[in-house]
Amino acid sequence: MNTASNDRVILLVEDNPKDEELTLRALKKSNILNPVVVARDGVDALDYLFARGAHAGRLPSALPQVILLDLKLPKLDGLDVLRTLRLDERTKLLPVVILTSSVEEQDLVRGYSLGANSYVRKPVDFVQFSEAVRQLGLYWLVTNEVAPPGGRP
Amino acid sequence: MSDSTALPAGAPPSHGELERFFAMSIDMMCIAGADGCFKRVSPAFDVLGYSTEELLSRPFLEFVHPDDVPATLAEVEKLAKGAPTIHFQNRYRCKDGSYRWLSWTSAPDPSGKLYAIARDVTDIHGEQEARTWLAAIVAGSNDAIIGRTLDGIVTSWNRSAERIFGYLAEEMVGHQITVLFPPGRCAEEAQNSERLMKGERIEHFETVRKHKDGQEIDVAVTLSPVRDSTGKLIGVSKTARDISELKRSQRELVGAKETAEAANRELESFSYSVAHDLRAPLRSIDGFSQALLEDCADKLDEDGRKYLRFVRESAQLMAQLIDDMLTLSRVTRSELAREKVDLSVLARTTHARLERSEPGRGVEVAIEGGLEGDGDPRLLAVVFDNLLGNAWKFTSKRTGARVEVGTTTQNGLPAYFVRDNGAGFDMTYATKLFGVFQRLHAAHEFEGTGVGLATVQRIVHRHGGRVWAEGKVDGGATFYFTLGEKERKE
Repeated sequence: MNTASNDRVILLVEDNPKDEELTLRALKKSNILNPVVVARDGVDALDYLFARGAHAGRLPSALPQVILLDLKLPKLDGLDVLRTLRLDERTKLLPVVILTSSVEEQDLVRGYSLGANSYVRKPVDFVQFSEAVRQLGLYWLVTNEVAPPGGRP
Repeated sequence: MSDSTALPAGAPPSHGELERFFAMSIDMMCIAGADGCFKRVSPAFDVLGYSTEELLSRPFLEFVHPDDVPATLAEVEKLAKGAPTIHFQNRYRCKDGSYRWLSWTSAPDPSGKLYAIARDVTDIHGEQEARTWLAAIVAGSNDAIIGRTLDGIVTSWNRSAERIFGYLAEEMVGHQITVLFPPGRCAEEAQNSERLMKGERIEHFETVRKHKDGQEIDVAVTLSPVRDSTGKLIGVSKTARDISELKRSQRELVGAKETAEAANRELESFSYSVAHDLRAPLRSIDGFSQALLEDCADKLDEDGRKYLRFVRESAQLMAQLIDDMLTLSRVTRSELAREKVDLSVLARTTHARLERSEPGRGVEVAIEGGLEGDGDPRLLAVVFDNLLGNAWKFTSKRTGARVEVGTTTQNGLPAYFVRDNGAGFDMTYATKLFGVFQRLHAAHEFEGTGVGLATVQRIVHRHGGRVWAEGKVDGGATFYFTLGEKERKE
């Protein structure tokens, strides 16, 4: 049991403030109390992870427990963010859940090919949406054991 | 040799000696009298098939081809006036009714008698005729027909060659064929010559040649070696067909196809972004309505809460519509990947999903085993999703609901069916079932977007099949479809 998981951050990469609000609400309703950091575009997300730009000075070794990544993002899209993460030693094992509106087959295939851990389509029905977020939180924050940061085999 | 037979040099031949030549001659010799009848004919006349008596019994004009009579009469008249006949030709009728061409030589004789020699030239005439035929065919051909020597000197040039390449025969015969080659195509000629030297024929070789005015023409060329009577390669016969028009329409077709494909790709990315971008606001509408219901329930009365439920239902219906439209457009665009498909498995997969989504409905589902079909498994899965999904939906108000999947035979071909004992429909509207957004049930009875059966129809049509339905209000419905029917008929 990972007792420290309550302090670990969830990084939500989401440009739509309403979707952000709904996701935060769903997390709260599921009693997931981990702090949530929101990045509103792909560049902001990478800056946070690598502690640079607006996030310079943050301790880079403190990595989020899970990233909830939208695909359609300003500046740098979700798939590009994922590709960059997987190429970097520090973040290549970080759990990434793609959370998007798209069920375009191409996006699914590319997402998994680039090393996404999970792909979830946001349901329109908020009850279903909440349930999806609850299950994600339960799995990635409680059930799943994360690899140690920068871990090597 | 005895003295009696020895002739003194320069002495005229004796009568007996002349008789021997007369009998031996392979040319036909004859003497005709002033009455127009033969008086004597040499044995060479046998070729016509008559006896000597028959030949002498009638005026010789009666043996002449009716068309040649006037010319023959004119020639006889000329002779009478003292002009010699040299190589006059006419046709003589043989006993078997056929005609032979004879070439006459004669000299006028003061006695009024006709002394004449004829040579049978029928065979030469035949060859000439064949040559005339060939010449007419070559001249009349729509393709350019060109003869050339092994080193590329043009020896013949027909009318179509003049038309296609713009050069007259007199400009080309005796000149190099390479004037027709656009720059960069000269190597072709060397390669072709090499193959021809080996005696190969080069068929329908598509290339480009140059018109006299400099314009390039697309041509299909056939080259064959020409040999002399001893088998020696002496030249090349070349036929060239102008395929500029064909090439132009081919290029136009390719262009049109590319444009259509580009439009299709654009449409595809458009529908994806529509689907994606329309869902985000719908999620907000639904989500915040739900938030209102949860957080502000005490500030709303019964109506207020009902209205918020309506807002959510509408948002969800619209999301379903977007998804269905996307499936419909995907079905139209995607490439068909056909293979042998186990339709029973597809039906069972759909059934299992329906059971999961609404456990405990208690629908009795019977799926015939081993149903095989030839088609795209992913698209056929969409067919079963829709047909079984409908059967599932329209039996929701029935106790003892039953759904059956199987095959029957229709015009000797297998037809698959999905049958239910649900709400059914009025056959009056059977044709309307497959239209986009056509619904036969009010939304409060059965939910739906009216896109499902249109999608089924498109998939079935893309597989060369037919889809139809039978039903009765409150008496259930059966949907049939076939696959590959068109191909089988062809």
